[in-house]
Formats: sequence, C-alpha cells, structure tokens
Amino acid sequence: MHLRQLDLRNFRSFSKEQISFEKGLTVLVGENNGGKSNIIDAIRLLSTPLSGRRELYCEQTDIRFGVTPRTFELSATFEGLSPPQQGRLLSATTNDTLEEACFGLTYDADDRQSHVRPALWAGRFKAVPEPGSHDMIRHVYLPPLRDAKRALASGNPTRIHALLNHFLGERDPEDVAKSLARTSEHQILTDVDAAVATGLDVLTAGVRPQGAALGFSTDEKLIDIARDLRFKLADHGITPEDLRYSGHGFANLLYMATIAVELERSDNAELTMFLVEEPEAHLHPQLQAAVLNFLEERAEQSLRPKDDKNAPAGHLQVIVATHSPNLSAWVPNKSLVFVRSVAPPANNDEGPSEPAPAEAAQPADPPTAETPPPTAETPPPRPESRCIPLAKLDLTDPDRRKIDRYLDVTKSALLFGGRVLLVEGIAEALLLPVIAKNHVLKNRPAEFRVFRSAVFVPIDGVDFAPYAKALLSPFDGVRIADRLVIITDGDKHTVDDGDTLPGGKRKADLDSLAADKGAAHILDMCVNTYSLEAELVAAGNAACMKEVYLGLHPQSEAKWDDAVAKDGDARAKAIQALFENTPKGDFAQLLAEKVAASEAFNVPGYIRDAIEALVK
Amino acid sequence: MSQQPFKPTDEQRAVIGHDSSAFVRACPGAGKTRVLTERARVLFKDIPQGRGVAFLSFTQAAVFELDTRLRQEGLLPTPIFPSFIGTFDSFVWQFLVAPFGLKDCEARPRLIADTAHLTVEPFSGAHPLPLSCFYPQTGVILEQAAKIRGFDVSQKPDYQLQAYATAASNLRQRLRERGQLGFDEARAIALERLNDQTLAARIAAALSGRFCEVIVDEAQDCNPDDLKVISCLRKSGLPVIVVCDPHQSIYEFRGGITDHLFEFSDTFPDAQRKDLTGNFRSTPNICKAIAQLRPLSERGTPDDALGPLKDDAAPVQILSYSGKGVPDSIGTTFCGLLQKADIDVLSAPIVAATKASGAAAAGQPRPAGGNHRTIRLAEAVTDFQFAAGFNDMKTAIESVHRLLLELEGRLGGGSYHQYLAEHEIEPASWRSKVVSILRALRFDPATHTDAKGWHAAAKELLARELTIEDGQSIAQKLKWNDGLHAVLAAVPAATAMPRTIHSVKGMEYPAVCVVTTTTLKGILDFLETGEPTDKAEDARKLYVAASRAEKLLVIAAPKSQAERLKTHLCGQGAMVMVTNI
Repeated sequence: MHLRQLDLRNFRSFSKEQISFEKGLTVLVGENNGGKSNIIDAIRLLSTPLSGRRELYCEQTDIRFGVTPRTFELSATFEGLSPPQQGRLLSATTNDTLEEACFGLTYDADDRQSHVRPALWAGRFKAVPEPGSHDMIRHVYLPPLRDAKRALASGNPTRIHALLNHFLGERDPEDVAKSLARTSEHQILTDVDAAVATGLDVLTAGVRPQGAALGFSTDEKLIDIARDLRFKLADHGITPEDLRYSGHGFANLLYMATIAVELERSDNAELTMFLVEEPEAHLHPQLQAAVLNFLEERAEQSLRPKDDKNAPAGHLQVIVATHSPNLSAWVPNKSLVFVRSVAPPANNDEGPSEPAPAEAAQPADPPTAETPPPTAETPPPRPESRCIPLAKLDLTDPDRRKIDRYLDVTKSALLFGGRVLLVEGIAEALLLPVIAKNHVLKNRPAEFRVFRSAVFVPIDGVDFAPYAKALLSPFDGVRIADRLVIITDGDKHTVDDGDTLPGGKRKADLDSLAADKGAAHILDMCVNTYSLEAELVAAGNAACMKEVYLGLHPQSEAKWDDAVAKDGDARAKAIQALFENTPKGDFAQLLAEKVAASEAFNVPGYIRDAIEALVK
Repeated sequence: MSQQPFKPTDEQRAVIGHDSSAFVRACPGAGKTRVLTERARVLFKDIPQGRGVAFLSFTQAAVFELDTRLRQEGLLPTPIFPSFIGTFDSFVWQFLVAPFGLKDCEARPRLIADTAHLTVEPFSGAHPLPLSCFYPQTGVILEQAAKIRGFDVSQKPDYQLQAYATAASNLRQRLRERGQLGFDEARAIALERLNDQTLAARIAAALSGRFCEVIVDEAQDCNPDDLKVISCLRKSGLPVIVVCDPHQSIYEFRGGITDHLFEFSDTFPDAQRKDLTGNFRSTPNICKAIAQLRPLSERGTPDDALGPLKDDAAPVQILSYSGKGVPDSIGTTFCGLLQKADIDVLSAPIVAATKASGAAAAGQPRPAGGNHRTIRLAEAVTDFQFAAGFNDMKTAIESVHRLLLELEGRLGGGSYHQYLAEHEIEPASWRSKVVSILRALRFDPATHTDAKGWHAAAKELLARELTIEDGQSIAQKLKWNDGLHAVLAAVPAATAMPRTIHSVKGMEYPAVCVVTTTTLKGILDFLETGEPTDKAEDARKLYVAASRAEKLLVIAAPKSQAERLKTHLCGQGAMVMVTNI
C-alpha cells in the first residue's frame, strides 16, 4: 500500500490541486515558495507521527488567504491494499474493489463552535473512520537540518532519550538509569566533604548542626542521563570526539541515523511515510546522494513480503522536498514532482473573473491587449501552487532514459523550470552570459537579472526533442518551463544547395511539437545559417577571433586568413575545418575574455534574438 | 460473581481451548461470560500484530457487560482496534454496509434507529401501522405484527392491502434516497453484498486477514438473515464461535426463529458442537423447575446446579391469585418472602411480559394514557428519578428530548432519530438542558402540592425553555390528563421494581417474581403437548424470566392454573409450594 495521491483545497499556497506520488521514492522539486513544504505539512496533518508526538496542528492561517468560506480540505488516497489491510481499513475504502483507501481532513473556521477542530473523515462517503484504523498510516518527519548539533547536544535530551527508550525493551528504565549513574565513591569527594564539614560544623555549632556531601543527584531519571550523554563522531578508526568539534554535515547524518533507528517501529504500521525536507542543507553533493540512497534502500527493504501475511505491512514510502539539482538529478525523472507557483488563469471559476497579472507573475499566459491592467478594485489573482508529476507527462521511455542519463552526469537544473535556454554545445553556454552582460543587456540591469535566473543547458548534441517535451508538456494546464529558448545551428554547409537546412528542419519539428503541446507562445527557436564560429565571423568579429585562434594555433595564420577570405558555404566549411582539432570549449573560454573586454564586439543577430527572447 | 480463581469444568475447558469454529449451547447461568473471557485470554496471549477478535452480541446491554468484563481483565486495549466489540447490527453496519453505501445512491448511508416506528398511512383515516409491520423487500404486510396492532389482514380488501404495501415501499424508497436505513434495511443490504459472489469473497478475505475469530454471543437472537451473514463468514474460513441458548430466543417479533438456529447448528460437525450444562447461578430446585419450561421436544434433563447455591433447598413458590386483573398483593407477598429470605428488595425485580402487568403487581398501576404528551413527560420524570441504571436514565432523557422537539414542532413527519441524523445533532448539545429540566420537574409534594401544581409548574418551565413558533401556546400542547395523579403518586416505596422480560435478559438476581396472566393456560398446554405452537414464544419468555433467579423463584399465577403449574414444574423433581393470596 502506498500514498498515491494527495488532494489539497484552499490549503496555504494551494487553491485546488492533486499531487501524485510514486510507490518507493518521490522527490518534490522546485523553487523556494513553490509549495513543497506545504505538501509535506499536509501529509503531516493527515497522518499520525510514528513517535505519537504530534508537532504540527491545523491553524486558521493554513486556510488559503482570502478564500471564503474559511475552510480547507486535505485528503490522501492510498492504493494497493492487501486483503488484511482491506479488513483493517475497510471504513476508509473508496470502492468495491476495496483496494483503495482515503483519509481526509476538513478544517472549517466558520464553524460556530468556539474551538475549531479539524474533522477527520474516511472513505467514499466521508464518514468517521473506525477508531484506530487511521493510526495504521504513520509518518516520520525530518525537518530541514539547520542545526543538528543543537538537536543532539546537551540541554535537549529528547532525541537521545527517544533512542534510549527505543532500545529499552523489557528493561526497567529505573534500573538502566541506576546502572548508568555515576559513582560518588572517589576519595576526592570525601576530601571535599571533610573540608566543607569542618567549616560547616563551626558555623552551625549550637544552632542546628548540618551535614553536607558533594555528589550526583541520587535519583537520576533516564532523561537526566540522556541530558548528559554526548554523541561523539569521527572518521572511522579515529577516536570519536565530541560532536561540537565535528562539521555540520556529519552531525546531520548522525541525526538522520538516530531517526532511522525509530523507523524500526514502522513494522507495526501498514505504511510509514518518511518525509524529508531539504536533505541538502549542510550536506555536500556526494553525501546528499548517499542519504537518498540510504532512504531508497530502506523503502525497498520494507517492501519485502513478511512471514505473516496478515501482519501490518510495515511499508516505507520516502517523500523528499528539495531544491538541490544534485538530488533531483540522481533519481529517475519518473520520481520527480515539480512544484511551482503560478498565477491562476483569469477565466477560472472561483469568484468573478480576475484580470491578468503583471507579466512576471503570469509567464504561462502572457497578457494580451484585451486584458485590462490591474486596478485597485480587482487586485491581481494570488499565485497558487501547482504540481507537475513527471511520471504523468507524455514522454516515451527512451525520452526518459535520455533525460535521466543526461541529468545524472551533468546534475543540471534543467527540470527546475522557469526560463530555460537549450544550446548545442558548451561554447554557446560559455559565451552567451558574457555577450548578454557586456553587450545585449548592457545597462539593462533588471533584464540582466532575469537573464541570470535562467537555466543554461548545453545538451552536447542536437536532439532537443526529449528535453523540450519534458519542459513544454502541460499537466492539468501547467508546464515546467515559463519560457524556452533553443539555439541551434543551421548547418547549411553540411548539405547540398537547395536542400532543407538541418537546423531549419529541427526548428520546424520543435515548433510543431510546441504547437501540439499548446506551448507555441513559450518556445523561441533561434537558428543561424551555419554554425557559431562561422556566424561570429560573418558578424564581423574575424579580427578578435583570429587573435584567439592564433593563441591556440600559432602556426596557422595563413590557414585562418585563407578560410576567412572565402565566402558563403565555402567559408563556413573552411571555418568548420579550422576548428576540427580545436577544443571548442577552450576557444570559447578565450573568446569570452575578449568579448568581455571589447567594446567593438558584434553580436550575431540570432544570438541577440535568443537573449531578448529569454528575458521577454 | 465469585472472586475465587476460576476452575473451569470439563465442558467449559473444552470451549475455552477449542481451536476452530464451534456451536456452543449454554444453559442459563453457565458462566458464559467467564468462559468467553477466558477464551479471549487464550486468543490474545499469542495474537499476531495487526489481528484481532470480533465480539458480537445482540443487545447493547449484553455488549456492555462483555466489554466491561474484558476490560476489567485487561484484555481489551483502547482503542480496541483491530479487534471489535459491538452488537451484531453494528458489525453488519460497519463492515458490510457503511463502507459500500447503497446501490445507485450517492448519499452517505446512515443508520436510523427508529425508522421501524415511522407510520404508514396509505390514505387519510387509514389505520396507521408502523413500518416494522412490512417486509423490507416487498412491502407486504406482516400479518402477525399487524394483528398485534389491531389490524386484521384477513378482514381487509386486497386493494387496501395493496395501498398499504405501496405506501410502505414508497416510504422506504424515500428513506433510501437519503441514505437512511433502519436495522432491517441495513441487514437486507448486507445480504445483497454477500449475494454478490465477487464482493463477498473480497470482504471475507479482508475480514479473515483482520480477525482471527468472530465470537457471536446470545446467538439465539439471530434471525435467519443474521445466520446467513454468520454462515458466509464461516464459509470463508474465518473461525466463528456461536454461543447461544435456543430456549432463550425471545425476539420472534424481529424474526428470531428457533428452528433456523437448530438447522444452523446441524451444519457444524459433532466435534464442533459443545454444550455447557452446568448452572452456576441457581438452586437445584430452580434448575429442575425451569427445565420443565423448555418445549417438550427439547426438554432434556435439568441442568446441574454447580454454583454456590448448589446445596440450597429453598422451594420454588407459586402465588395463586384470584380475580380478573393482576393484584398488587403479589408485590406485598413477594416483599414478605424477600424479608424472610433476607434478600434486599432492590435486588429483586417483579418481571412480567408487559410493563403494565409488572407495574400492577408491584402496586404501581400505570394509567393507560399511552401517547398523551403530559403523561409521557410525567412518566419520563418519574422514570428518571427512580431509574434502575444508566440505561433507564438514558431512555428517560431521550424520551424527554424527543417530547421537547415534538412540542417545538421540529420533527415534522420524520422520526426522532431521522431528525438527529439529518441535523447532525450530538447528545452533548442537548443532554445537559434535558437533564436540568428533568431535575427541575421532579415531583415534590412540598413544592407542587399535587399533580395539578406539578402540571402548572411544568407548563411554566417549558414555556420559558422552549421556542414554539406555530402560534399554539404551551397550555394547548401540554393539556391536563387525569392519569397524572396516578403517575405522580406512583412513588415506589420499599417495593420491588417492575421490569419487563426483555429488560432482564442476560441479568441475574437473588430473587425474581415472575408475573403470569391468562396466557399461562396456553403456555401450559404447549409445554404439556407441544400445541398450540404459537405459544412457544410465550413459553420461552417464561423460561427467560424464571431462569434469572439465583436463590428464590416466585411465580404469580392465576388461581385457575396455579395447581396445574405446580404439577408441571414438579415434573422432574423440583420442590414447589403454592400460596393463595
């Protein structure tokens, strides 16, 4: 059994949304304020903590700002119930197959009762669930680890106390505390006592004689012991030292390990959802992958069938919220749910029709002439969180594998959306920011900031289709990309005269793909005639390019002059030949230096177009 | 109940340790609850994670008793999940109806306890009949049930009967559209589910995964539909322990029929049929006497008296009364006997088939006011004041709440429980107000002087507490009735409490006075010859009432039948004395 879908209505940044989850691991990715934490919190409100200690409760402020009536509703749908689970969760089943169960929570702040309490319901008729059944589904929450050291340090014994309790088993806590207690038997304590007693006797003589003894509290409880226990940590084989000397990252791992211990208790539940928020905080990329690997393995292990088929399944489902491209790149894209904030379309059915928002807030649907500007009476609609489960996008398996392989190696932020620029190679990726900063967007700081927020993706090839498909496919009206610009070479020199340009064909294909996806207004294809280098020469930058080229090939001046002197296809072919044994990245690096320093650089038209399109 | 360590008899041990389905026949006082508790202890000792036991019985009181016992023994966790304890109806509702809803109906199904009382009146002026008088599926009138309410089917023209059937079906259809189901309809729907092979298999697999055993106590109250549900569970491989005393089946009016139970027991192989014949409750004389109250064909030998009273030789007493009605001398004579036997009056009820004859015997005649609102209010106030337990109090509180809603004109054409369900009214929201009204209206001669004074005070209080919007005054709604004198005067002194047979089911008392009336002749005819069969139920009622007694059993009988009763009861050696009163 696993959480398949979460429905949120008027909950914080969500207006009305369904979020789907994968069986083992789901990674929620997206920008800050996208709504990832709100999804995690919804699951926390909908299920019982494994430890039984609830730390999050419904609040009035959880109701989406400004909605009426003042209510929000969350519901979680679980699928794949085994017969024993069907028996235990019967009151929550949603149809006659009994294989699906649903628990929901309705919070109604308009209720006339003085204490507003969330109402828990279950099943297809939203009835009260059988008492106890809801507790079969649990969660463990791992907060963003900002300060694991403090959570594990003294004065905050809860974590260590929880561990001690976990391993207590049949033992009596009193006995354990007693045997862990420190002795007061040392001579030095006796000496101190004797010295103090001498003074005390004199002072209290004739009044009420007092005795004194220095020692530890005589009735230490387990929690007192826990308060004084310290985790020590060090590389393997070295004597561990106190945690305060360790780095944040390893302290975080230790903290996660202590929580993972608790997961053993998940055996008594049907399903435990392990909710991890921003595991990347304070972890370097390799450790992030290690953590994710660890979580995924735990989830896989939990799926092994148990000896007693009627026992609670003890399944584990991992849900991670992150904005680390490292983590998202590491998992198959099917496990990713992209979370983003968008302005609701003006024609949606909640309330009177709302005007289109300012352009920055509504990238998916650019304002048209008909939409009136926002006025004081009708404020722009509040942005709402939306989700795109990549598993639900219309991608073929080869497409998916291609994207996965690419991301795995490059750790690219490709799927983080917003404004995306796809280019063929590293040369374009290196040169474009320099060109934008020093030339095209010079003295336009606001637009340059927009340009900087874009994701640059050199795909090292020309097969843009899988990436474009992933970025442009709408799910329930929302897409990952707000704007997609693709720069590709015309490659005219590679075909005979009169044939269609390879770049032109790519443009046509991708334009029709975008049109299919209803995303024509989002995609800009910028195609040159030949290739980057040939176009740079054609734009009149031969002089500065020659300088750079000769820096790499000091003996090739004649060859360069000869090639540049040619015209049209011949020149393009010759320039292409010049670069055959020149690392394009190296050349682009050196050229970038020149471009940054030179006032006289001429930007080729298609590059200018691309930069303008990206910040549009 | 004794506090000594429990030493089970061989019969009891066989039930406690049995490891598959079983059909257990338990005589009165067989220590059934004890045996079930011990069985639960065995089951729970090694119960795997996530699995539970379902304990089902047929009345709230029986469930409450078993629940209390299991909790006292520390055998039931809180919450009880994944185990289950409740009435058979609540089990059927929770596992077979509520999760699935009604076919072609989007409304959330709700159980409305009193739909059976909704009135069917096909045309104005028609004899009103409650919905319980009609078959759930077809709407056809249940002849016997209708006859009890003075409606003789054989005297009515067909078109009229057809009109009734249509009206009943329409009423049920309207309820169904709103998801409102009575117990009978819910059971019918549960059977529909179970008749759907695929779904039934799924439900059975789900329940088998969750429950390692289903224990059905008081199974004599099963009707044929209930037995079908149990059979279905058992066929799916879920072990089912059915515990019953077929002789105590007294719910024929809801379709509990003993023959079906015997047929059902035949489906168990011999090794799965167990008997508990040791009576730990009563004296040997009582055991011998009540054996004579079983039907001729099933009479058997008396149960063995094994309890603390096994050496008590007190005889069974018959009070022979003359005259037409039930005289209050029964109560006074009974009290005298109690005093002699040193038994507390409060622990010894006067039990009769109807509330009225019990009250008459106890010297608390009830006026026949019936549905008169003022009388109902006064009765509830008195019942609340002299309640014998929480259940009685609850009944009184509910009946006043219902009356208040009626006075405010809120119920319209619907039933009380329908109103509560539709408006999602929780007891917490009204109970304290009703209790304070009940306390304020407690009859006190010092304040109210007499019934007239009480009536004035009641009108004054309710005028203040209620909002009546239909223009009528409280005086119009709460009219004077001469019966009030009797209701309010009937302050029980040190006399035994009258109770109905249905209300003492499953209980035990040091002494019981069973009041029989003119029906005794027919009962004796049936017991002696097996005819007429329509007295079988009355005979079983007599059996239930008499078998409650531990030490002293008193039976009040009309003079004409007293000696005959004595002779019959002595049939297997019981000592019986007759006293003329």
